[in-house]
Amino acid sequence: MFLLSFIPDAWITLAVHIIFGLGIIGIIVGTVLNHIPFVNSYGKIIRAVSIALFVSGLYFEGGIGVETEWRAKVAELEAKIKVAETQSKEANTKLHTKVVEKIKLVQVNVANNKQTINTNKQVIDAECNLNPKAIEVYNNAIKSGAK
Amino acid sequence: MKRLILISLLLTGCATSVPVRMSFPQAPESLTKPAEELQALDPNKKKLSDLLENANTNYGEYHKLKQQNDAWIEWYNTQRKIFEDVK
Repeated sequence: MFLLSFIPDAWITLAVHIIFGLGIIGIIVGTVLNHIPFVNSYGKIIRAVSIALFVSGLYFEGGIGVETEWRAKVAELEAKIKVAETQSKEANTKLHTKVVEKIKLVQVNVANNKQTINTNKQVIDAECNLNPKAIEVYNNAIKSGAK
Repeated sequence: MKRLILISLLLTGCATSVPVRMSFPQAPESLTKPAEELQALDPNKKKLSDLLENANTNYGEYHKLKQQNDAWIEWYNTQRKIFEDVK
């Protein structure tokens, strides 16, 4: 069945129709030959072979319907996946652009704040000096605690 | 050798073909950057402006991470919706 997936649908359908058609024609020819003297022994052989062809042809006719249905489903799913992969890439590009822009805004805000601190340094530092203990506590808060 | 080829060919009859496969979506590059460490305050810098500057830098890092985190949530929801639409 795995190897069948490499053969085009049209070829398989054609082969099955030929087997089935040969079976029907063979049964008719075999039945006719059965009634003609001297060749009726060939008629029996043709008929037996044709019945086998007819039965297998009939079986494959049923099978081909299922196979075609599955192939259609696979093609449909492949098309959906292709669309989904394109959508996924587009969504990623949009998101990337959005994140980069937002991070730039954050950086601008940080830079502006830094500028304000530098401008007002003298006023800010005029009334306060940090105790070493305060710095220690502050730095401890920065540590996550997780290892 | 002929037997090996014959057996290999026969065994392919038992193989199940899986022609439909969806690749796992890649995350945008901006989301895969690791987080920066928070900066500790230099014990020799004892002025309030130094503390503010340090806090400003660290808050900036937090805001960057918040953007990344929000983006990860959006990425997950979008990709999940796209994946579910395929079914």
